[in-house]
Amino acid sequence: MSPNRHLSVDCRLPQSRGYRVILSVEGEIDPSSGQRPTIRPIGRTTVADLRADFVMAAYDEHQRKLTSFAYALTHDPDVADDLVQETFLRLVKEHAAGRVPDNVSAWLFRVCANLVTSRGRRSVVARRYVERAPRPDDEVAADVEMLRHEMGEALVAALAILTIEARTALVMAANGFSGREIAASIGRSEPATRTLMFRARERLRSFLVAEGMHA
Amino acid sequence: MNHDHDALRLAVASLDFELTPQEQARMQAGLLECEECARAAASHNEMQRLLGRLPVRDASPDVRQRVLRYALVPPRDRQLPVLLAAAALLALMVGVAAAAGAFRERTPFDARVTGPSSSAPALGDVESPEPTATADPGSPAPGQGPPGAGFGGTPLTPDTLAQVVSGRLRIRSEPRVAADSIKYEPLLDVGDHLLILDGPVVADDYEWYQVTAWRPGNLYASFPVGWVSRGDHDGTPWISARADGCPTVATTMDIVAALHPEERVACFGDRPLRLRAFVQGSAATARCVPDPAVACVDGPAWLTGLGGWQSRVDTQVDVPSIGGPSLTLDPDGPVAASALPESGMVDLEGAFDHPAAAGCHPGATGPGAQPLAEPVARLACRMRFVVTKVTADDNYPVAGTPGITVSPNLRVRSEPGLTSERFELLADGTRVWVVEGPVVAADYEWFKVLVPSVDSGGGTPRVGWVSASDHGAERWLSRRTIDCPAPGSIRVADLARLVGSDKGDGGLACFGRSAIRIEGDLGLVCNDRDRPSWDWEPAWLSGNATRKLTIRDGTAVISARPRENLEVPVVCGDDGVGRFAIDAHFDDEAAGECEAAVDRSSLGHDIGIAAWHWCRATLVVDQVTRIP
Repeated sequence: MSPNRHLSVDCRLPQSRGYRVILSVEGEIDPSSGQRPTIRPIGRTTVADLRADFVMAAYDEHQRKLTSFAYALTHDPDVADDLVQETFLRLVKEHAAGRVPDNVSAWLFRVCANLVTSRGRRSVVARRYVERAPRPDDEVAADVEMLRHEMGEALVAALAILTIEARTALVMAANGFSGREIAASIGRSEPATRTLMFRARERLRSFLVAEGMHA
Repeated sequence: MNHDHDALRLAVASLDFELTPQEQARMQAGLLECEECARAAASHNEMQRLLGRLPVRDASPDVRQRVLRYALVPPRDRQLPVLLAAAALLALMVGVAAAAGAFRERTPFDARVTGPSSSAPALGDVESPEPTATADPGSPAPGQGPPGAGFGGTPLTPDTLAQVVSGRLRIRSEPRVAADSIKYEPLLDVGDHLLILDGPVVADDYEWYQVTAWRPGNLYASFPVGWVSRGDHDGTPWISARADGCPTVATTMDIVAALHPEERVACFGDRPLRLRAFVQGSAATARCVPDPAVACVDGPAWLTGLGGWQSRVDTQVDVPSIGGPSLTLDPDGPVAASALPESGMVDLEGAFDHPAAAGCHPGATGPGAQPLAEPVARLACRMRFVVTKVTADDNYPVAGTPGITVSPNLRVRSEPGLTSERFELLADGTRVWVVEGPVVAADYEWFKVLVPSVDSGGGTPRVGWVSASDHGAERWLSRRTIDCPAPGSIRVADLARLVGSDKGDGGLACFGRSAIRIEGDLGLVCNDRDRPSWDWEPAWLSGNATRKLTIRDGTAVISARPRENLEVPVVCGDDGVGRFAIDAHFDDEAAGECEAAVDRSSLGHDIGIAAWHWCRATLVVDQVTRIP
């Protein structure tokens, strides 16, 4: 261990409830010699501050990828915002419970994917009698119009033909997750995920070809 | 399009999974042998690259703020075991002390700790409200400082939105910790929403607010109206103001419908709103009867909705929603009830929070019901949208009426939305019958239509879904206006114009099932199958009925079906025999039983709709009377 390495240690003394003491550790633990490093307190911070530091660092690092992921799955910017918020709120809870994920990025995607899946199950598909103001960022070309969207938006619309599970798998793959990670995330075996993804890719390819978006 | 060879499966799998050496070898050999597999594999590779072009988005800045705020508030669940242990220890100490006679004369402090209602506003029954010697350094001493000083500054004001930021928050009947302040259940949880009704009241060193609460995403959760504390003595907030509760974009009905009724009052107050909405269900409402578990609201009946009149906005959004606001009209206001259509799209002007809501008070209460609080009774009236102006959209399609396309190349699809099977493109001016709708999918409003001019096979008209407009802007499908003759002076020529060659729905649109009378020369055609190849029931009403009356007046002629078992004064092959007064109607009751007697798998399930519609559009003769 390098000298002056700072450790964050829970202090369980009653008078310090809700706080953590920042300790400075100098020296190395050598069991053979029985030497111990010098430890001295150098500061104090609240648990909430530490949690906020951790969560906000994760937020700033991953929110864009996660928001893009959620948007690709839902095609709704507001819903994507809600999903990202809920995902990070769960990270707060995990941290508060003393369970910090080993791979924060994978954990966030997995939670977000689960939220999308559960939301998809309970949501009502059709909305009736709703007057919608035109929204420039989510218009989908109808057949009476020319396709007028950027390819990315058209892809998001095309993904809607897939089941939420298949969509999640393909978008995770597009975000660099391996098949094994995807299988773990959607709760299927690897062979089952292979089959699911093959069918999803074939279906999406056929659709894109039929829509003239892909050769 | 799909090609299902082992080599292709392996090639696609290799995009996401690591193949075994054996699989690699099989894939490569297979791709060399199967050109189509190789092409498809290359196409999948290209699609994988394409998926890398999915849009990149950032979450809104509000999301970051909310996450930060949540991260900074200590979740209280984690403290529970410690607090339970502390409570047990405290109980033990109290028990020992009591045994020693130390509490023979109880102090107010003791009463609050050991009495039946001694719990703190939060954490249910486990945390003492009293300051302790181990209070966090820097937190204000209890009872010191101005109200709210320990809770984040400016007090919350009535009619503002708040949210619970600490779990297990108790609602009490009175703003104090005392035996007469009933501890309500269930407890509030983090994220529950509140409307501040009254407060603050500072008591027991807590800052209390009267609130009504609801749980977003769970419309079945209900909470009693009561008082909660804004936070703990040490400044830990239990509730906080909601800065993000109100929409910041243009107000449309779906946005209003997605809000909880309390949020509508808090966000819009009595501000005039213009909303476009599909309204229906205009009806008088029943007076309130204080049955067990029912508490009534007294006040102007038109505003309480109890014994007055109301209409409602029909909306169904894809998030849990309590539904659109109920509409009401001030009887002394500028709009008559008749101005609102039974069912149709309208532009509404009006507002929530009508001043007359001040006259709403708690009414009679059933024996099992909780009496309403004064602000709650008033709130029930404030939440109703009082309409001050109505402009009907006369061209908006309505289910069960004729429609017409008003845009070229309008696509018919098998289901609402953009991903279902695509049928024909309809030309501008195509006549349709609107079967049902609207249904919103892919952000478009869709109507199911029957298109008589398009044969979908076997003589069956196309039935499918079309979008009504470009998000409410450019109109693609419109209501079809029909020039209907006055019921008392209908001529055969009028019906011929409306019905045409027995396929038109103009007669149905104009007269519904009202009785009509015409005069003409009568004839009878027998065993003429002019309908499609399939059979349908009931036979007497169908296009392939064995008896069809012809009614002629000069050059105009129409076809009709004699009512089942009706004796007619003509025989098969007669044409233009005598002059008759003919009583008839469209939309016969038996149309509801019309069914295609065929295997639907070959002609599609919508064949039933076609049969039903044709039967409804058929003129049925009830009686013929010879004119001398």
